[in-house]
Amino acid sequence: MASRRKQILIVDDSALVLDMMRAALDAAGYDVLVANDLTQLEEHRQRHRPDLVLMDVQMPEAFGDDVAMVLRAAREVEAPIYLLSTLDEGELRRRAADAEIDGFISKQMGAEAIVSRVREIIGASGERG
Amino acid sequence: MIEDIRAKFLPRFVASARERLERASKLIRDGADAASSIAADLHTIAGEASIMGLHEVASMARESERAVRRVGGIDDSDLLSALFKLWRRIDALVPPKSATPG
Repeated sequence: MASRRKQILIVDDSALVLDMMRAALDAAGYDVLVANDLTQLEEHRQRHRPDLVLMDVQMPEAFGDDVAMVLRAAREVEAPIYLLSTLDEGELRRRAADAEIDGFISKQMGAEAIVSRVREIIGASGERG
Repeated sequence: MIEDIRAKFLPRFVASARERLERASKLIRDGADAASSIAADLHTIAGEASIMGLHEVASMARESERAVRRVGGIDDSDLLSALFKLWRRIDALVPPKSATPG
């Protein structure tokens, strides 16, 4: 049976970040869903079961860690949730811990290293059951 | 592969960052109380530059963002100077258009 590509949902208010991360992750073999705001996040959440959620922190509508905390507490997302932000690592670590989510990835790593980190977290694509 | 992606998105990044810096500079010159809006634009520039691996640009944008958010803020002329330096650095990412002969 053919394996399915693993799916990643990215939430960020920057269309450029979304498009570039989609291109980088797609090239690495992942399916990518993007949400530019909370409405799109909710639409994807209802229709898909991503293997990983990457959430920006500072967005116009809300802080991503607050949104992530609600999703996790309500068990609305079963996949690992990681903050993806340019904030300093100390602050990201604290926010991820306070939100009781799985961790964080610093945007400061750049797209290539972020893809590598994603691979460490959920494995290479094509391994989904 | 990443280099190809970066090259593809660089012009869009430069155009977007120029627009954000122009807006921020105008707000400062107009004397608007817009620290949070300027900080948000700088934060976006920092995030986009980071993703693209433009670490120096990202660092400059982050530093200016921190200065804007700091209690007591930053002197307008110092901020304009910082934004101008950032603008120059971003402009340097794209080769200047060659002069048209004649």
